[in-house]
Amino acid sequence: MRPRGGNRAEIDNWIVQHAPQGGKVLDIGCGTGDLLARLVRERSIRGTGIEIAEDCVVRAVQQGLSVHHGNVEEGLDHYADQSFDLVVMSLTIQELNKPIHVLREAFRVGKQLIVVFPNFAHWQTRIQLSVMGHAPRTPSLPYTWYESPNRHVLTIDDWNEFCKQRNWHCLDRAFVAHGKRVHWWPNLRAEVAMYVLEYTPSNRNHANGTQAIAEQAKS
Amino acid sequence: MATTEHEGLGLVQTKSVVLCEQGLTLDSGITFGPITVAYETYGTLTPDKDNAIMVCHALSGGANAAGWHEGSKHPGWWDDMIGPGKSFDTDKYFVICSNVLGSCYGTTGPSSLDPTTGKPYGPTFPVVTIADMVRLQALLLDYLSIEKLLCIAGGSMGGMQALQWAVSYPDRVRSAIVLASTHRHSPQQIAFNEVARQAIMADPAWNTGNYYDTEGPRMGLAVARMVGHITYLSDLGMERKFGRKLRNREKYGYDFSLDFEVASYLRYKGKSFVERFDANSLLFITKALDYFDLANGHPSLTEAFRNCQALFLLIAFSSDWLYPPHQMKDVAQAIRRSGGDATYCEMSSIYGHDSFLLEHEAQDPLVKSFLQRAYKIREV
Repeated sequence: MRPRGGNRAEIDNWIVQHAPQGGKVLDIGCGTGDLLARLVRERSIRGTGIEIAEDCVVRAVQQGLSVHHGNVEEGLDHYADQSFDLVVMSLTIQELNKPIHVLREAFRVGKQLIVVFPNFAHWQTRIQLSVMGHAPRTPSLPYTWYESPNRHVLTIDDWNEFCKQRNWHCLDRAFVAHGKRVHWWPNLRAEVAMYVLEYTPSNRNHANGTQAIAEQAKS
Repeated sequence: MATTEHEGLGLVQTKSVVLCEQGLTLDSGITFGPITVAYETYGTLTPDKDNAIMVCHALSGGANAAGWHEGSKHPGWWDDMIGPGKSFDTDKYFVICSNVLGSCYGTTGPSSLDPTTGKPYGPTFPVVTIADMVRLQALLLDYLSIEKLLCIAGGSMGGMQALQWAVSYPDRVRSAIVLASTHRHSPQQIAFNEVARQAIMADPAWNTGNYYDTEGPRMGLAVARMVGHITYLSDLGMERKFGRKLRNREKYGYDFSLDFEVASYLRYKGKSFVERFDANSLLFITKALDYFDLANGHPSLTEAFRNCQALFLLIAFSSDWLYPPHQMKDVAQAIRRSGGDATYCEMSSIYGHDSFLLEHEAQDPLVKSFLQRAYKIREV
């Protein structure tokens, strides 16, 4: 399940823009399949999703989609190496138990990866925590501490460092707050961050990135 | 649920045709025939013959999948799912169901008369497999002049037939719906079948299968069914349905009469099964189940699905411990790894293996949307 926020449309628009026309797409944590259905309609993709909640799976099938009902943390054994042009993890990684395992698997099965995550360093969360002394609750992080599905708290700076350490090459990124793009000081002002990361053996001119990803994905 | 004869499809009749006059070559190598096939159809075939769905029954089912037979107290075994406006909508689709080879509901089986002797085949009936059952269904489809199925569907043993269809006849299947089933019989599944068979064979009245001039192994068959029936239910389902309730008494009898409601229910199920099923058919069909291993003859299960064109809808049930969800997940995995398209859903249910016959309301949106998708792809 994904949090409902005013940023949903902007996130989905951005993903649709970055999806390869006619490509094969895997949506990890596809929910009711709204994004996949849009990708099928607007980008003619062949898509499939993974979703843990039974009622969401049923809704996704009702949208005419192919879905796997299961926990992505059990691995992506179902899919062969490099069998997707794009793997999407939209507002999913913060809820995973071991996101690094799933990210590695995502790089194994997919050529490109889109990761969208909530930025916990947004100024509102900072104020709530540091000035008011409360666990943050914002429109994009609407949960109380005891009901939150978010297991991991990360910021844009954390993510950049994390990718850099692994040589995961960023092809494009964008930041959103209140349904609009944020261009300045994203780690302070953005509620949500969106990244396209690439791993293609043929694209070795990127930094020292993609080869390292390939090796890491296999390890 | 249908309660009167006027609901759903109303009155239906079983048709029958004699096929394989020259014999059908079985997995065992034996050539067997002629074979009578009992079948029913519902709905109307389009001029393009592109709306045919074959549904496959489980161990003790028959050709009467939906609608009512004259004088019968129950509708067909999947009446909740098949009919006008239902999941398998007979206003849209042409639905076919035939009785499997080896059964006792009209298709040739061990209780049928051997034309060469004029007596029932009994133990001389050849051992058949799920693939043999499917071969015969393919010949029925030829007889009906239908080249390609929009969908092949079934639960339990019916699901095994559906999987076998997709693998054996990849060009003839556009989609497959498989419920509460498996790609191979596990040791536990074989073990329960062995107990059922031993119950029959240990009954002196079985007489090595030659009992058609007597009442036959009534007790053995009843016990076999009781064992089977336990595996179709779940711990929680039994707790809810029976608990430790006593039968027609306030206190324990401290004897071996019927104390518990659950025992009474099992005895009733066993007894009523004896009235409607042939013991030898149970032996032959359970053996066919035990031999079922879809990967057999292929390097792996994934390779078995390599040529499949079909879209798959796989549904497992959380409380089904006879055909547990992990087996269906393995099927989904093999299909996807072979490059195929599989949707998998584990539905939460307390009814155990029987869920596929009972949870029709939960299955309905999945089956309806999936069939629509398969029908749409057909147009492309």
